[in-house]
Amino acid sequence: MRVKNFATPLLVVIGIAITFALSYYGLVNAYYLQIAQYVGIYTIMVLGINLVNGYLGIFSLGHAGIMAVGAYTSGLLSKYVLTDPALFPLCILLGATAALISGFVISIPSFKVRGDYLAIITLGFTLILKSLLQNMEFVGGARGLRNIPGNTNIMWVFIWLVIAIAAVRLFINSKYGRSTMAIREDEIAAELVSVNIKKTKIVVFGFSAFLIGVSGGLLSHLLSYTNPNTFGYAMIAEGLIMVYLGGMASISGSFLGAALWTLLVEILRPLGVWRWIVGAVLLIIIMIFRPSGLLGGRELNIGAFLRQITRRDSAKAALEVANGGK
Amino acid sequence: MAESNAAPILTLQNVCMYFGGVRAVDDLSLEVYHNEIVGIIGPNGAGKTTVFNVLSGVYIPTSGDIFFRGERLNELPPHTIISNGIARTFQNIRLFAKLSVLDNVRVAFFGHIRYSLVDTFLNTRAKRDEEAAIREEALRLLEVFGLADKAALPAANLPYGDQRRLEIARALACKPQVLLLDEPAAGMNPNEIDELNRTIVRLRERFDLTILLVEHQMRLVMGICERVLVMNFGRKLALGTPVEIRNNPEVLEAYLGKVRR
Amino acid sequence: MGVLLQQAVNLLQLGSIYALLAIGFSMVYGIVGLVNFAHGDIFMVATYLLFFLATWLFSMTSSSFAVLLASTALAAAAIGLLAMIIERVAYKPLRGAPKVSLVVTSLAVGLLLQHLVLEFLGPNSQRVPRMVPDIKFTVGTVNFEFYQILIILFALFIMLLLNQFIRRTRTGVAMRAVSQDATAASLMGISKDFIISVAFVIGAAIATVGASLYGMAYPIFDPYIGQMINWWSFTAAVLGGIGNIRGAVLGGFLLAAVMVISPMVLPVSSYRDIVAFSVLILVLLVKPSGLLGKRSIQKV
Repeated sequence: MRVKNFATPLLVVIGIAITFALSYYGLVNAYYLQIAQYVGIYTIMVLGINLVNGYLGIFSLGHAGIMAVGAYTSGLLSKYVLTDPALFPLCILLGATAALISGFVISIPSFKVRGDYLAIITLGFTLILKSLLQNMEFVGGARGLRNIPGNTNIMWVFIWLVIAIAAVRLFINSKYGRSTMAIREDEIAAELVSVNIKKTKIVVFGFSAFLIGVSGGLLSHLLSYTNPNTFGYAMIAEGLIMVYLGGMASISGSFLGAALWTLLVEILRPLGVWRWIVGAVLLIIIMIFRPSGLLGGRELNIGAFLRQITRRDSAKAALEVANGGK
Repeated sequence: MAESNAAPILTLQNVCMYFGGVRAVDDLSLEVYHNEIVGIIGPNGAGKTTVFNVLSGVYIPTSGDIFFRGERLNELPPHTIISNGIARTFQNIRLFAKLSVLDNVRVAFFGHIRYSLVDTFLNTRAKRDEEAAIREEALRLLEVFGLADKAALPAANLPYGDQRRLEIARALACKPQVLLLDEPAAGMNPNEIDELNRTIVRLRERFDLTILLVEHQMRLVMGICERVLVMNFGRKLALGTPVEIRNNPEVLEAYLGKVRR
Repeated sequence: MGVLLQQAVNLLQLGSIYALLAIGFSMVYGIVGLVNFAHGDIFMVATYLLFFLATWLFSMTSSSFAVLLASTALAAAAIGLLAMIIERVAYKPLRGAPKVSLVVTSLAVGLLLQHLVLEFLGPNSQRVPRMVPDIKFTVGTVNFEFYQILIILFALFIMLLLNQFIRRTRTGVAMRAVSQDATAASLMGISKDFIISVAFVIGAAIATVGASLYGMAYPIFDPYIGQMINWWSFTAAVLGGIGNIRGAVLGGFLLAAVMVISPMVLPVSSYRDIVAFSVLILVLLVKPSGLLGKRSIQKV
């Protein structure tokens, strides 16, 4: 236990140092760095989606709209208001805060409306937002917002990723995490063992939206532009695909889903349009054989896994693996 | 003791619960005193579970009032009622199937946990201490029901009897003063029922509980209840000691008579 | 007054198409409980097929009406078969799996169809050949075209046919039974697999008819139309109460009303979508199961 407490911060510091070096001294091929940044950004987004769709068990399609809020707010701020690159983290933070507020808004219908009906309300939110952005000239209308400072680099992606993972872990292993999963299992029973359903839903939707907003901000500052079409059907579909590919209600699954899908799209890029076809077929196959995703409801726990392999205390280790090492 | 017995802990005054034309509970009045075990019996559809649903806030009564320790409960949301000190179990077991046995119990501390969202994200000392205390307390509760060694299993993997016990453990984690047990003996054999008898009596002493229980198993009701309420078509048919109920001709006709036919 | 009548015709025309699309969506939902995100892409594939069939048939006959009927019938049969194959291959292995994995699979199927078309037929937009004589009518101050009448009548005919099928035939009754209680229905000897196939086939065939009618009014299409069609059929189905076929028809006309009326009231026509979705959200906040949907009761 003591070793672990000491090891994690050390690893984080080393990681920041390495990513700092990568960002400012160009040690690695820029293309690989770009892919790594995508993986990081999408992992943050998938963690956010997973909070609502996986842990809370509500099928939401709001993530594309929420991401747009984060992307546009932070983009506008760093382009016109907080133009100093040193204020970049503040821009992301404020963009994510705007997204958080939109998350609160989406949580309100979830008190009353359920299932597929709620899914379409969240979809409506995304499409309304997209339409609004297309019609607002001061954010660039349909052409989108251009010349956003390209402040995103691998170091910032790494730092936000660490923050996101730590926050989700702390949240899930708290009273809120337990009430969230209890609502997923049985909302009425949860309410009748003293869980405040509305409060939990507001908190989860808000937290989820905050993370998705961070990823939106990082994405727009990576690409240096953003436009309404980025946050339409494709983003909704890809977000869901990454969540369900990696596994619902799983932190390591979120990373796995984001990494696998991003890499797959990149590896298959030479195939042109075929990459979507191969990707779609692969997803269908995974859904058939692992309907909750590769790591559904579990965490990758290397220690427990190794112990299981070496058969030392194997029954206990198996139990730990089964329970995500809790 | 005499003083605390003087004022009822739970009072139902002319409570009615109508669903359209169906009178699930009709003009029911009842006073429950501290540390009592009161049984509610009646034929299927007599409104027994509806009484629990009204008491725990699932339904807001059409008319009438409910008082708990002198405070009116009618319009409070369920989670507030539960946090105030009324907990319940379910006729058809409603555990959180995929959560571990331990987490099933820990969820129920929600209303009593003091640390905030900020504490959660900053992982403050207050949060860690309280979480540790809750873990201890949850494990102790599981021990009472002989479930401590199964704490890490998903609740769905427990055998039926253990699931029933876990439901009671989870309800106790809400730190209730009044416990509502909805058919706790359903599906149990006479030996298990006798054991449950002892458990319920022991729980009452240990946690200073007042217990209401809906039951079909006469063996349980007649064995441990101080008073029994008989319901029929949503109405109060009789209220009295088990002996009085056993000899009440109306009850025999409406309920027990049919059973013995 | 003239303007209103004119818009009423537009509303009926648009509503008929939305209704046909929503029916297929709702029917599959009622039987399988699947929000079929591939529905719009089925529609898109149907449009391409209609386009090729019509072009080919015109090389043999010049009777545009015969081409219209023949291409629609052939395409409906082929697309129905396609839907059945998709169901067998992609959805059937997921019986009993969590609902969301079905939904994700349907997303993947939609992506697959869209990108197959993109790969083989290219991203450029095409134009459906005109299959209806270009006749304009003028009644008082109202101008309307022959194809508008045809759309409304054709859609009405399909809806009546479907109604008869569901009420009168053995299969139709079996479908209603499955949608109410699948377990009880299977205990009565109804083959659930067969009924599911029927639902997919009919849903896709009706969507094909919808595509044929849509092409008369809006002949330009490309591989991306599926997405938009998908949202609108989803919206119409949910407005009416998803799973309920009459609800789907009602939802289709309601959505058309919003689409036709809001540009008349609003300064910018592009706010139309925003209004449509806002109406939807408001309806759901008041009636959480849609207008004709069953209110699901949670038992304690």
